[in-house]
Order: sequence, then structure tokens, then C-alpha cells
Amino acid sequence: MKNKKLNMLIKASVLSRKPSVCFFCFFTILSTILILLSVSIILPLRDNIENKINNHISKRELVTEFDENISDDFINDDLAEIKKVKYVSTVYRMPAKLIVKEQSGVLFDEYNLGYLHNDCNPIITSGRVFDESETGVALVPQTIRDFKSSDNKIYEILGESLIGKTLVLTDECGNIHKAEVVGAYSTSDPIFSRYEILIPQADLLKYDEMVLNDTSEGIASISGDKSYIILIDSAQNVEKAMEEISGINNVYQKNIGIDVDSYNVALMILFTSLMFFIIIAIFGFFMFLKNYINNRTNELALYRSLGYKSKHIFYIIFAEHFVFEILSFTMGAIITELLNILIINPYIYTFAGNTLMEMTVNISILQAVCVFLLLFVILLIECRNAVKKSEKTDLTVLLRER
Amino acid sequence: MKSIELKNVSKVYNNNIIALDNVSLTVNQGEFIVVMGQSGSGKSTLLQIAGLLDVCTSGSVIINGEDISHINQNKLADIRMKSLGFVFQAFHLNSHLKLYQNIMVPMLINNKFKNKEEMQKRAIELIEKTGLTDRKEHYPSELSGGEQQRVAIARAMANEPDFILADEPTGNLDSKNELMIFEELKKLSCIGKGVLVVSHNDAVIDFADKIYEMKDGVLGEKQNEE
Amino acid sequence: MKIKNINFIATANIKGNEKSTLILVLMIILVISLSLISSFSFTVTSAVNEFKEDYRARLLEVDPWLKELDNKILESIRQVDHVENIYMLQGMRDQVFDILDISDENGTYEELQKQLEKREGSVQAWSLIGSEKRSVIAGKTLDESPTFSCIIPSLFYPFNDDDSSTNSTNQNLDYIDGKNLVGKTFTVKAFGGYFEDLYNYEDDVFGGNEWVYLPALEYKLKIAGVYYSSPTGAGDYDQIYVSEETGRLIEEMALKAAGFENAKVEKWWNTPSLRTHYLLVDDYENIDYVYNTLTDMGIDCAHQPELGIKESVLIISNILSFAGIFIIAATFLLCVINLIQSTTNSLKNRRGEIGLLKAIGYKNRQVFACLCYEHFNLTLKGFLIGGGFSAIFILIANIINSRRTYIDRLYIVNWSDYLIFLFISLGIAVIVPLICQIIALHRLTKIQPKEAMYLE
Repeated sequence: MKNKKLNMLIKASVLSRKPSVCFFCFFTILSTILILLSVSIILPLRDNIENKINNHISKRELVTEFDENISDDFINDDLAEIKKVKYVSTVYRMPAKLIVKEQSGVLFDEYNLGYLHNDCNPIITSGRVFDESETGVALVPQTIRDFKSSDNKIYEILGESLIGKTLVLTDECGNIHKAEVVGAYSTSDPIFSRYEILIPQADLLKYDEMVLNDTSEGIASISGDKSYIILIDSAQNVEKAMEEISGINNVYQKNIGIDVDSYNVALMILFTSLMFFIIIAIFGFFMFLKNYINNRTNELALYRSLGYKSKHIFYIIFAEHFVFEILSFTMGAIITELLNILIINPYIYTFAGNTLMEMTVNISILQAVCVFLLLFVILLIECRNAVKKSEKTDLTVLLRER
Repeated sequence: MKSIELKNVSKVYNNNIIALDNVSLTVNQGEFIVVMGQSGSGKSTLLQIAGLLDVCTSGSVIINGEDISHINQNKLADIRMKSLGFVFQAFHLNSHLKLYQNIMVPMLINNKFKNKEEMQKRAIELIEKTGLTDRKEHYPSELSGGEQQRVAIARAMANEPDFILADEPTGNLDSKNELMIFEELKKLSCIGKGVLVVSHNDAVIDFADKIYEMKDGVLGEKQNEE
Repeated sequence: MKIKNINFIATANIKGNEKSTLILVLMIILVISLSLISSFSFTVTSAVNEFKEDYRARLLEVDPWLKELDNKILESIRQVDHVENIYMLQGMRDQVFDILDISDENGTYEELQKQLEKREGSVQAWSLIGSEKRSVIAGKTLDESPTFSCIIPSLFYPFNDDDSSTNSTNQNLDYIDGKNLVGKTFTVKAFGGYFEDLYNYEDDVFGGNEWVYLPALEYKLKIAGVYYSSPTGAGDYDQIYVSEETGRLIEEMALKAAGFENAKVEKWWNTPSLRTHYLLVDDYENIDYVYNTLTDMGIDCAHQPELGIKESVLIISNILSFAGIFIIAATFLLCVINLIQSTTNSLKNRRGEIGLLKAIGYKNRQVFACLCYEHFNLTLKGFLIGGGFSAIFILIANIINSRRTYIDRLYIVNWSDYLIFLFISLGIAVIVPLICQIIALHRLTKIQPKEAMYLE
């Protein structure tokens, strides 16, 4: 028989239980929103930490040092050997950071003169990043906390306001270096600090040389040793590469100064909590549906007494709930996406926007489909259980007084 | 001839309460059988077993020559759909379906009806017989108790069953409507349906072909004093 | 109506009500989920925010060189926005001590002792200040320990033969597992043969500070516990902490041994307004504001705290906190909705029962009392069972974490936090259905005794 003939009963059933149906829809929408939101927050967070912290460029860098007295030929031979090692992407000279003070009156505090690591893409918040072939250019932090000793005040200077200005920087030996600010970068990357002005590697190496050549006693705070950065293709291969390279020259890995392992454990705990939450949500939905469907014992018993079979009863219960489940799920998914766009993402942007950890929370089709399938399976199980229960229901309940 | 036959049927509940004790009863087509008895005598249990709503502990139930003791649920449902029609004390009409739609409910699962129009046609035919044609678009809550029970009887006739089983059909009605309902049921037996009524209402005696009395789970025939 | 009568009916109703088991299970699940999920998420949030909360990242040194720090000045400093408190420095900040030996009740701790004989070892000692607390991942905290106790890093490297700064080559260092030293005692002596101390003075024109060189006495510091030091994070592996009282005693002993060296030193030690103070800012991000405000007030203040925080740390902490708090909120919401639904449902299904009680002669308030009592009964059972399960789970998780790496120990759930969430879950389990019942009360009053006739 064609089940759509039973749609009349479904319509009557829905009309007779409008408040319950509304509550069912509300509960489904809420469950959908909570599950989808939780998933859409935790999963990108996991990806974020995995990609941006665990695979941070500094986790792929090794440093090897050569004493200043070692000849360049020897160094080059060693470097050539190192370049042949599997997993090594590139090897380049590591400039030493200098402490500088700005003289033109733009900045008053002392700053580190740093460089951009190879393969490092800083988050530029305004202006542009420089090319390594350029010279006399600089990137400044997005927000500079400048201490002016003359009035003992700290001034917050926006890096953006310095774009186009030329900084006149003197190092500890009094050498003057000029750099035009072309952009501002986010200091959220752990490889940088708030007090670092970045210039091309070639420029910094040149300034290092100037400092080392200065014969004034006790001034040169940088070592004459030559350091090289070895960039490995992937964080997973660092240990293997280290093992091989240590046969050529001493090599070590610098810390990025944040407790990555601790965050990974934190993430794992949150992830487990999320899983547990989803289980609770599913269980809650299951209990809700059970309560909801079980209230129809009399109705189902009547249908059985009229000769309705299990498949008819299943259709009656399932069709009604499925339609509302789809509608509620769709509405829940739309509300979730709206919440993400209007509230969650703007909120996350306030503390993570334009930073290394910037993340966008949204629902993927796959996530939505998985959650829907989950709710669908629960509905299927519960309808099946209700049908089985109606098979066992004492039809004599109908014969009792009402 | 089609019949419902209960042969030596007993029903014992888990706590060793004997609801039916070796009861035998036959309801033939065209007969109006009444089972009377006080509360707790087992008459409702008898109807439940005869109507395949419950299973007996021992004995056999034969419907139209078929022993239904070892039949699966789906087959039982088929028999209920095709051969039996129920009238309940509490009517059990769907308050959100119109009268004619309530009558259509058993037809929805009957493959004999190819489409909705056929069902509606049949439903309206049955409503006309109840005299409620002008109320067919109304909802049960807009009808009196007697009218609702008449609709319930019409529903019971929807799939042209061989037998009508009624449990205290006038339990919720006044005396005027009681007689009306018994008359309706009598008409059904006159057109060849087997009618089994369980009631403690003496008014039914006048309509019965046979009267049985249940006492402590034992069925005995009572003479119909006309 | 007597309580025992109510109990009698409520107990019977619970047995007779097939939905009771369902409600009990729901209560158990609610208690478990609220207490467990909340406790773990809260622990994560606390742990990742620990850096931000670290006193050394929020303390600014305040000196009496421009103005003496009398009570009036201190009070005016406390009134500044974002200032939590200001404390007088009673102990030491970054005082270096040579380690002479390390011993326990059985004698010297040979392993480390041998290393100390070959390589010089020293520690940087910091005393806690004001309300500062340092949590430990092994052993006891300084609060739980007597004076002249200290806590050491989980990765301990006291040797002077290398640059052990974490920004450098610290991966190849042979760290000592701090846990193995708990219970041992350091014998330390001020580095360089004398105890260097800075004292403040005032004169007619301005104030300032000078070094005073005090005798280097030997002190015995018992290692009470171990604090977490990240293998990849910032920090030095030779930093130890002592209590404020211990720091004060060490200084006082040195000063007294020197006979206070001169009158200025004695005056400084005995005059609180001449002592260096430390101001605690509520948040790392408000340091600039506080500094500028104090400068405007003409008070000498350091413009940087002792410990800097990387911006990336702040961001990651904020994001993880947000995720943790979201999960807690979502769990609460879901549980509340479930409770509302099950309570409302169970009331709806008991109209006949309620009608019967009324038919017997129960008044509305008596019926309400029975329903409430029944609910409390189920809630309490659910709470005890659910609380028991979640407590066992937390206990097992804590035991496992305490036996694993130091990082895992950071996420050991604090029992006081767990108990708070447990009682919050009890509160919700009691209050939410109660509110539902109160709301349903007006419907309850409308149930007529004749509904008892419709009992199934």
C-alpha cells in the first residue's frame, strides 16, 4: 500500500500536538546549534595549533655554528655536506641581532634589529613586506610600546603611522643605519618580539660586520662565530635531519619560547571534552525523542487494533519526525552560521584577528552532514524502538475507560 | 459460515489470577451475542481474546476456520483489518480528523481501496447510514457522545468486516443514545455481521440473540426472556 | 502534612512511575557531564592562563626615590585603576647563591654532589611577594612547608658551565629531574663571597639606592616541591622560589651578621616607607597604563615587569580559554533544556495520578510537596551516583596524569574546582525542575479529581 495515504494521519497527529511539536523543533534546533558550534570551534582550533604552532617555522629550523677562526673554505665544505642531507630545504647565514636606538625622534626606546627568516611569512597588518633583495627597508611591529626616558612615559605607537618614515638607527658602536618603514607586522608570531625591527638579512649581516670590525673594547656584544640556519622540509623530519647533520657539525634547535607541548595537551583535553559533550548531546536528543514518541502509545495501539502493521506505524512516526528534523536541522545550521558570522568570528577576531592564530569558525558541509546523519540515525533507532514497543503494547489499554 | 470460535480458552495472569476459565464461545455471522457480567468477571478479557487483542494461556481461537494460535503479528493485523471491527467504550476518534476522515482511517491500509476518492466515497456512504451526512465535515469534539459512537461504529464497518466486537459501547452514553447504539448494532447483525457485545447494561438484552453471563471467569448461557 | 508521610507517598510514586528510572538516569548523566566536562575545561582554562596570572609578569617595582612610600602614597597607588595591590619587598629578587652541597637525612646526595664538585652550581633565588602563590606539580607548596624550604623547577639545571638560557642551546643539557630532589636539602651561600643587597636612602635633594655587601652566610634550604618549567617555554632552569618569610629571614640574618653595616642601611631596613615595593597589576595588558599613571603621580616605578609574555602566548591562552568556556556553557545549556523537558513531560503524564490525589482530598500545596519531594529524592540519588562516578573518574585521571610527564600534571584537576562544579550541577538539578514545577503549578491547580477516572 502506498504510505502517502497515511499522511492524513500524520497531519492530524501534528495538529493535535502543536506545543509538543514546537518543543521538538526547538530542541532539535538547539541541539544542532550546540553540536555544530562546538565542532566548528574546536576543529579549526586544532588545525590552527597543528599547522601554526606544531609546524611553526622555528620547529623546522636548526642552527649550526662555526668558530670565527675557522676558514671560510672549511665552512663552505661543511655547508655543502649539510645541503646534501635529505630533508634539508635550505641553509643560510644567520645574522646576529643588534640593539639599536632610533635617533630621528620617531622612537625613543632601544630595539632589536632582526631579520625575516627564510620561508617565514609574517602577518603584515599594514603596508607591505619587503623582498630580501631590497635594502634600506624595514618592518616595524604593529603596536610599538615605546619608552621615553626623558619623561619616563610609555607611548603606544601604531606601526602603521611609521610607514613611509625613515628610521635612523644607531647600534652600540655608534654606526648609523637608515631604513625606510614599508610595513607593520603582527608580533603574534612567537618568532618575533614586540621590540624587533625587521630588516633584510643582507643588511643585517652588513651591520654585524661593521660592529665586529669596530675595535672599541667591550662594545661588540655579538660573537664573531658564524651561525647558519638549516631549514628542514617538515617538523617531523627534524630529528632525523639533526642526527645526520650532527655527524658533520654541532647542531641544535632553538626554542620558540612557548610551551607547545602544554598547549597540545590542553587541546587534547578540550577535544575529549568536546567528544563527551557530543555524546551527552546525542544522549539528550535520544532521551528527548524517546519521551516524545512514547507518549503516543494509545494512538499507536489504536492503529494496531485497526490492523495497522509495523511498517505502517513506522512510517507514521518516522515521516512526521523526519520532516521536522530536517526543517529544524536546516534552521539550526543556518542559525549556527549566522552566529558564527555575527558573533563568534567577530569576537575571536578581537583577540586573534590579524595574528598568527587568526582563525575563522564556520561549518563545513561534511560536518553538517555528519551531524545530520547522527541525528537521523538516532531518529531511526528510536522510531524502530517505538514500533517494537507498540508490538508489545497491550492493546487492551484501548478498552479501558478514558 | 464464518465464525469466531473460542474453544476451551483460559487466561491466567502472572499472579495466578484466572480471568477466563475454560471458556468456549461461538459467534456466527448474523448473530447478536451479548456477554454480561459484573465488573471483574472476565467479560472484557473474553472480548480482547476474541478480538485478537490479547492471547490466551490455553485453548484455541478460530476465526473463519483458521486457528490463530500460532500466527505472527502481521497476519493477526491482517485479520483484524479485514475480518474484525472494534467499537470502544471511549470512541477513540481522532480529534483532529473530520468525521469522514475518521471513518477512512482503517481504509488507509486496505489495498482494496486504490485511491483516496474511493475511500472518501465509502466513508460518506457509511456516514449516510449513521444519519450524520450534514456533519461529515465536523470534528468529533463538535458531536454528542451518541453521534461519536455512531461514527465509531461506521469506522468499525469501514473495511466490511465479518464481525463487530463492542466493549461497553454505551458506557459513556445516556439511555436514549444507548438504545440508538444497540439498534445500530442490531442492524449490522441483520445484514449478516456477527456482533459480539460485552455490556452490563440490561437494555441490550432486548436486542440479543444469545446472552451469556460471565461469572468469575466462567461463561454460562443465560436464557433470553422475551 | 508530615515529612515522613510525604516520603512514603513519594517513595511509592517513584517505584510506580516507570519514568522515574529515566529521570534518575538523566540526573546521573547531568551530574557527570556538568562536573566532568566543566572541571576539565576549567582546568585547561586555568592552566593556559597561568602565564598571564604569573605575578612576575604583573609586578612593577616601585621605589621611594622620588617620593617616600608612606601609607598615604600607598593608598593613592591602590586607588589607581588596574592596581590590585602593592606589597613591600620583604625578601629577595633574583639573588644568586652558590650550591655548596646537597644532602638528605642519609647524608649527601652523591650523584648531584659529584657533579657539583666538578662543575660549579648556583641558583637564582626569588622570594614570593604578598599574596603570590606558586603551584607545584610534585611535593608540597611553600605554603604547606616550613620556612627555609624552596621549590625548584621540574627541569633543573644549576650548573654554571653553559648558557642555560632557554633562548639558546638548551636541548643538549643534562637536566636533572626536579622530582628526584624533593626532600633533599641545599646548602647555599651567596655568590661571589658576599651577599649583595640594594638599599634605598633619602637625602635632602633626592633618594637613590646603593649596594651594600653583607657577609655570605650559609643557609640550608629544603626542597619541598617542584614547579613546572616548560622544556620549550621561557624561564631559567636554575630559578628557585622561597617563601616571603624565608626571604626576609635570609636578608635579616645577613644584615644582622654585618651589624647593618651603616646607619642608612639600618634605617632603610626598619623604615617601611624607604623600602622597595612591588605593585601588582590586574592584567599584563594594563601595565603601560599603570606605569604612566604612577609617573604622572611623581612616583618612581619600573616600566617593565620582571617577566615578559609573548603575544602569541596571550592569544593562544585566550583562544583555548574561549573554547573551554564555550564547552562549559554549552554543556550547562543542554543539561538545563533536558531537565526542563523531562520535568515538563513527567508532569504531563501524571495528570491522572494528581487527579486521584485530589479526589482523595489532597490540597494543591500537599500535591506540590509530594512532587517536589519525589523530585528531590531522585535528584539526590542521581547526584550521589553521578557524583560518585565522576569523582572516581577524576581520581583515576589525576592519578594517571600525576604519573606521566610534567606537562600532564599541569592538567590535574583541582579537587576544590571539581567540588564547586559538582555542587553547581546539584544546584541546577534541584532548581531547574523546581522552577518548572512552580511554573506548572497553575496547571496543577486546574487538574480535577475526575481526571483520576482517566487513570491508565
